[in-house]
Amino acid sequence: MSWGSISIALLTSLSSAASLFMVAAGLTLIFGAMRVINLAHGSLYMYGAFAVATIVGAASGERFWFAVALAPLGVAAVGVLIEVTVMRRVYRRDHLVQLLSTYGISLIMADIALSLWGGSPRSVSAPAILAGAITIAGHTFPEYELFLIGVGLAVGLALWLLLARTPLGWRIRASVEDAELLSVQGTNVRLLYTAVFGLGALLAGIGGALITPVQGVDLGMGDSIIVAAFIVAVIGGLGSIAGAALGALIIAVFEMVGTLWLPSWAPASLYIAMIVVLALKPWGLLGVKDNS
Amino acid sequence: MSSREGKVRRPRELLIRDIHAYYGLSHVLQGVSLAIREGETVAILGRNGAGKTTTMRAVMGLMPVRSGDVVLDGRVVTGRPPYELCRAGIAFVPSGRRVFGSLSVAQNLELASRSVKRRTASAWDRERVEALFPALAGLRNRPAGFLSGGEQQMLKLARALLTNPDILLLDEPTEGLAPTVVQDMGRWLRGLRDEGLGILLAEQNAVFALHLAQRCYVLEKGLIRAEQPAGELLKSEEGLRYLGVARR
Repeated sequence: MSWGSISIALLTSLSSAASLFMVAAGLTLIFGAMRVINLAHGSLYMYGAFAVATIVGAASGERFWFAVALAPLGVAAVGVLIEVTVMRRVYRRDHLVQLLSTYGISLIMADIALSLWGGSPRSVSAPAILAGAITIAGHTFPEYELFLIGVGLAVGLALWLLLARTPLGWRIRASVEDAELLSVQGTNVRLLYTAVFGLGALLAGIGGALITPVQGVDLGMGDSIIVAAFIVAVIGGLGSIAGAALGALIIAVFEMVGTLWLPSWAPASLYIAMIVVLALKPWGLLGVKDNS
Repeated sequence: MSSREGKVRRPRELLIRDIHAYYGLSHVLQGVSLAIREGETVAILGRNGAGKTTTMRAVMGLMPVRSGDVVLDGRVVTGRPPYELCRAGIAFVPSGRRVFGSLSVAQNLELASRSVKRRTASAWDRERVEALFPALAGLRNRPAGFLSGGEQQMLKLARALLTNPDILLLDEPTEGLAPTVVQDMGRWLRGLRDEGLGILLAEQNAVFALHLAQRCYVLEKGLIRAEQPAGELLKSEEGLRYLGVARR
């Protein structure tokens, strides 16, 4: 195995980690603040992808940037709608009710998607400026996926800045610690939760919108990403954004190693990684024990 | 009692009228009525589980009130969400180490002052709060989870003041504090009262509360058993024995 192919394999892992991270970060952010596993998160991701495919349409790439800017905002709006109509009624209920509610939402969203976009897959090509590839020791790697790695880093940095440096971020962290205390100090926690859910949906939308040039857009893409994103979030520690980044890297590297050396085991690599991590650290790598 | 200069206005007051509340099927408040006016310190005394904390939580909108009214300055605010009550001028300082441990002291304070737009004549800001609690000024960047018990109490009070309240609800402010800090707490609360704050104090430490308060209510099993001037209860053997305070 040459250095070239190893570099390519690493870059491929990083690009899939970047994409996984964006989706898992939204999931873990929502869980951290509201203690809800949003099973409809994958559907939001799928909506982001379909929105881009629809806007770009037959226009072969020239509307790509416009679509990528707009789609996540639309997905965030759908997220806000879901929060206001359903989620805020189930925060105080037990986990089973919450899971069934979000699962129900994902089924409804799937049916709406089927009637809006039909059952046939779409594809979106990368914008012309990123359509090329770089060459490392004779192996090529798509420029678009380099861009995806960059976006993953930028999203991670933006989330860190939000949580560490802005009053909104402090409120989100405070609500994770003690939402009741935050409310008696004058914060409208209900509104804060709507904002957090919208932000989580925005991240799913960004992930879905940006994945379109890398893989086909189809109705099943939400179901496969939710499993991976959930595993990533659990490995990193549910509620931890840094954990989501770490989890995404681990999963992506595991998948790469599996694909290269143990192809028949590759599909199981996700679960193996989760089992190993949870056996050693039941609350995930960067998670804290939940006393609630 | 100092009122703020010049303007003639009715004194601010919090009235609790015959409130009932339940935890599940258990009838924990069975008709509690009390009143606090600005510039007045009122103590709620009673044993563990008598309903002191529950009364405060019910006032603050943290648990449902089945019947009865909470009235702030003549306006019925029963069942309003906690953040509205805070913005209307009631600050609740819960018992224990309830600070946002992963946020710095400065961030804890900033969150409180940002959430409330309310500006009173003598508005609290960071400078004033740090003048009252000089120790906090040196701890600005320390995560609040790493403060000592006494420092956390300061932070809790400071945070409450930054919401510029008229009425302060204090749940067990001396719990777990070293004796010297208990004395500081008494001094701070007298100072705040003299500035015109109304203070409702729930305490296990009856002697501390009675020395600070003008009036006190004795709560037992969710009912007000007695209301009397604090000085009288302090002199009454029977009353003190009832509260579990041994006379030295």
